Amino acid sequence: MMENRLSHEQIADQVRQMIAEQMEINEHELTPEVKIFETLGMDSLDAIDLAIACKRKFGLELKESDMREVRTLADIYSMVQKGYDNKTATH
Amino acid sequence: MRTPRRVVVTGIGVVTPLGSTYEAFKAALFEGESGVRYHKEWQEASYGLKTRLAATVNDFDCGEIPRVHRRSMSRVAMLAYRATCDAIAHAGLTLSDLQNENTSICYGSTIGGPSVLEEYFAEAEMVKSYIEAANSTTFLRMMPHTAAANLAIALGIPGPIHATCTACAASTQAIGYGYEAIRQGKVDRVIAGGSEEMHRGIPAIFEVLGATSIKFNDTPDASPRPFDEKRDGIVAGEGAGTLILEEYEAARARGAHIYGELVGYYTNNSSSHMTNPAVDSLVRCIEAALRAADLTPAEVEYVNAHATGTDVGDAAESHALMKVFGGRIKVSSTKGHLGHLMGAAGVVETVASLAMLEHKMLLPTRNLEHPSANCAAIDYVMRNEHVPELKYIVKNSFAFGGINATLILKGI
Repeated sequence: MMENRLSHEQIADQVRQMIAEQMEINEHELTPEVKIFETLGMDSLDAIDLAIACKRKFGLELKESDMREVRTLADIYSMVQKGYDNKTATH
Repeated sequence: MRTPRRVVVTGIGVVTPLGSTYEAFKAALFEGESGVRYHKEWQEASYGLKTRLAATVNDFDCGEIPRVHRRSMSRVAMLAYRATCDAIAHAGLTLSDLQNENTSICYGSTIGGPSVLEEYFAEAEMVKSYIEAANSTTFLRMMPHTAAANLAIALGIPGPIHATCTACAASTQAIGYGYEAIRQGKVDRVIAGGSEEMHRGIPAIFEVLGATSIKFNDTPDASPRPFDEKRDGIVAGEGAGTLILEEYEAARARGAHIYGELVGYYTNNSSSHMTNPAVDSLVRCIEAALRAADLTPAEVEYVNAHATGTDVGDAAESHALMKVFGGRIKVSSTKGHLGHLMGAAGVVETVASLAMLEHKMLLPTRNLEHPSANCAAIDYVMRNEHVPELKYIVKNSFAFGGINATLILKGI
């Protein structure tokens, strides 16, 4: 199990790719400090689709309340990384 | 009592198997072209269908749509969007002219986005989860009012939406609602029309009922054959059409080009059978539309029929026309050129009728060679016919569910 574990950097890379594809934005523009709602124009539907994508990719059940706390890409990365760590720790 | 307001058509947008501008569409119609095509891919994956014919819009380019709007659109909404943007430009209007609550959207389709419906339920069955099969826009892309709602959101129009989903009469009812709304002073402008995306389920449903053409797979442009003795059913099609309807005085004041006036509308239902047309209810519908327009049958030169090429439907409509107008009435169906565009049929055929009024030229029924013995002896238009006195056109649309709808158009 441990050898398949994703590093935080790998998770951030994958989440960045998912957002780039979903929002049709060049990955190079997606720096950690970018504000996802104000700058990227994400809305509630996009947040739901991102949560769905995270579930498919990482098997994570992200809570709507968690999503509402998110401001920047870095916030999303750490939310997913935290969820992933919790999930893999219990296995 | 206040005089009811007059309603005119000031803009036209079409995306059809015969061309995707008003000018190209008109040219193809007057040249007698056919939009019906053989679909090789239906041979390879027939899904049980016997027909290989459909009137599809090939090389459809919707143009640029921002992602935030595109994510909730399936093909039916994209066709509608393209036709509507073209109609607005054609009318010489800008979006800011329409972004107010005095503009309504009346827009129809048969079942919204059938491809998305199919994908969603097939995926749900596969993964055994209605949750996992969906994303945030699944419903928005398949819902019956997807075309109308996407137009409102993408174009930023806050006025009332009326989404008609009455199958083959959907866009005729949409135009009718729009006409009534302006006439009664509820709004000043209406974006009216309908859209349909091709899905094999539609010809299949007609095929089950014995109403899809299956004998002309080797000669696609020889079907459908409305009113003809060899007719064997519909050829399903796709497309979209949008009319900009405006209150007459306002249209004139802004110097708009007027393509025609709507002077009457009526809709009823047969209350007798889901699929079999009832001649007496068709007669009542047409006669009520004439009364609404304050016209006698003798004042109408021509009827653009619903006639789809089915045995029962064409016969019933011809007998209804005979009863209302007598044998002198000139009649044709544009479905011989276009196939049956379902939710878009009524509006695209209304556009064809406006073109006939504009050029004082009647179009024949393509593929009508020998009027059928079970159709009434009315004056079937057999070739392009110049009618200098052409002033009024009656446009019929009928649909499963017993729905009848009749519009009356007047040339300017």
